[in-house]
Amino acid sequence: MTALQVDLASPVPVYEQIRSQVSALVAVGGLRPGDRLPASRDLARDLGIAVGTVQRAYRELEASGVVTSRRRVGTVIAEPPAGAAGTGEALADAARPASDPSGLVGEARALVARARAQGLSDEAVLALVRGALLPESR
Amino acid sequence: MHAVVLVIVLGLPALLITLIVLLVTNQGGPPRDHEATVVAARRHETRISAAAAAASVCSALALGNPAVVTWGPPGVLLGVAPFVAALTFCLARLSGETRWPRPTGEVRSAPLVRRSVRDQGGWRLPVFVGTAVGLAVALVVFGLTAAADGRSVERVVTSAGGVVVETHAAGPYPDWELGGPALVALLLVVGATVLALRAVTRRPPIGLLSPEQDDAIRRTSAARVLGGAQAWVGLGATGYLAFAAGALLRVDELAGGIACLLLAVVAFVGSLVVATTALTPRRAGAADGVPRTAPAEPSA
Repeated sequence: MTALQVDLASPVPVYEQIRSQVSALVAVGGLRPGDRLPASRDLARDLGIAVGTVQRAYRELEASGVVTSRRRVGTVIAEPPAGAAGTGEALADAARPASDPSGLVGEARALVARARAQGLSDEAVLALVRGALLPESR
Repeated sequence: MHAVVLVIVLGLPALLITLIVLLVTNQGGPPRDHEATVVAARRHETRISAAAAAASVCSALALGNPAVVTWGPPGVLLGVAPFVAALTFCLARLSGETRWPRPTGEVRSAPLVRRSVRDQGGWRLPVFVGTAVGLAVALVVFGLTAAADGRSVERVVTSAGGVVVETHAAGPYPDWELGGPALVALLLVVGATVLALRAVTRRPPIGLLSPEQDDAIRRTSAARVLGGAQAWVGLGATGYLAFAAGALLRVDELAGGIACLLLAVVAFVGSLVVATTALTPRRAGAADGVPRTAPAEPSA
């Protein structure tokens, strides 16, 4: 069973924490296409936050194609677009373990495990990945 | 006199519910570690269940005892006693559900899963609904087949020419006078059960617990809500069916009598099984746990 965790004291807005965690769960296969997310009212009640905060996170997720909202069904994890693998924005889709031919999820997990074993904090790991994403400059 | 009865009928459950709220109120501070939280949550759940069960037994004993309450035609209060007990049980549970701690602190977590009354209720929910619908149908049939005197069932023996040869009558038989209040009470019980289950489904997750452990405690609560309601409704159904069976057998309506008798046994044993199996707390990772996430049905 997957879970969300938000830190109200974090400088990162709560809606952004929800958005990024749902995206991350989709990327590593914690959430799969067709999985239903809780209703925004229910998730807000569970977290003890405003409904609008969850609604904003869901709107952002829908705008980026991670989820779709369907009448009567609610917010559902979207199917990855056909032929998405290889395009920059759809890296997360390519990394879904169900179709993980490149083994990216496994490599990412191995990286995290190694970094933690070396005593790096999660923030430091993220900074490392962000740095690796930057274009190389000489 | 009616006012006194009304005060007792409404006041007794209210008094008991107040007692429950006082009983389940956490007097110590919040638990600080994971193990203590699990123990405290399970203890809180057990207290709510025990207090609700005690309240329901008290209300049933009070209503079923003519020395405590007398009202209306004979047998009416005794007939609705199991349903009033079920109602008290559900309202006490509902009251107890509001006593769970709310999300506090800077870091909060929530399972990313859609919970529904149907999921939480599991197999006990259709059994309870089936029992309630079955009893409602039986009460309507009894009301329609009761004799004109309102307390018995008749079997008229006619000759080949259609002339009435003799009439057999036996009672007590649950006519409208008994069945009507029972139907209303049954409807209220179903509503209160759904409300209590909704409260269980919607209560916020307990801090420090994993989603699996929170789900297990939630399932325990839902099972006990349904177990308690089922026990009382089943007991009520057993009583009505047994009375009807007795009357029908005495007028030689063998098919109907035996059917009612069998149904009474099934209602009694089945409800007992549902109630007793609900006493065992659910464990995290049990086979009846909810799936990781509930997949969406294909849209039309």
